[in-house]
Amino acid sequence: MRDWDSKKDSVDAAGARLVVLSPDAPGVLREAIRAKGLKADFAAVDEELWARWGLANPKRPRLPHPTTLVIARDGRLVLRETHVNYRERADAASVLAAIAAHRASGELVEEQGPPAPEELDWDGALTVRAARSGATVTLTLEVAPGFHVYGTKEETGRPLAVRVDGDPGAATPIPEGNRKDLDGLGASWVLDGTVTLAVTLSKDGPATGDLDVQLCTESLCSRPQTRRWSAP
Amino acid sequence: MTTAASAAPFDYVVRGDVLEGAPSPGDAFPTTTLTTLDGASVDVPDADRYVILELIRSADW
Repeated sequence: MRDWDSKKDSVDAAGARLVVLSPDAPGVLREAIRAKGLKADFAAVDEELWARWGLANPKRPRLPHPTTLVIARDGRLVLRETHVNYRERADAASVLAAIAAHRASGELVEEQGPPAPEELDWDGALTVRAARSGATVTLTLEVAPGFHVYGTKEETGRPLAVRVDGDPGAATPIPEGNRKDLDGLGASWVLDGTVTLAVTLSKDGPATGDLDVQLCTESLCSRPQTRRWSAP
Repeated sequence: MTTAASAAPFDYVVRGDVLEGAPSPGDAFPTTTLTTLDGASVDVPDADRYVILELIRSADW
């Protein structure tokens, strides 16, 4: 429980609410919470609940198997981690990471006013130009206002990545991104506006390749995509 | 209000021990309303927030 208590702000920032369910009587729970200085919300529930959920310990039906559940706003179960060993527990950070990944997947997102998702010009939100000078190809990404892509420090969205056909030795430093705190989504490492990538080739010949990229706004993401580029 | 958006695939997460009969990630979770010790009601699911439920026994706090 102390793991969760120490991450209360992170839970709030993730757009989540934690409720701890215990089979103990309310008076017992209150005393334990007071004694340990716990901050989480607790609910005293009876064994019928976990029995209904299939999470009761068959050897001691009054107790649940230690379990962490994450339920999305659409009612789908995002995560279940159950251990029959009472000494094992889900790591709070990994649970929050799963929530962040689910939110970033865009499966359920808040409407934050216009433009509506279907009105966003995803196709026009990114243009990619390639120009070559000797052994260097410069990729210039123009990211439309209101959109962003991701740098290398991003852990949830798909960071930029460049591949050169037939040239695995080619090197492309990718910026780490600029930290951006997205309301309810935690921190992201974004790139926007004009993004310039210098690709250093290790072979002669025409240069073609792929750019992996994911476009997002502050509330929505497109699927990760791959753009072809060519610099003869 | 919520809406589906252009979605990247999400792999629903199940970890720990195999438990037959337990709810499966990706499926709809049974709706319920919980009451916290301070008397607040918590709907599951919550239309505004993810709900994290931590099932414990008192002995291993």
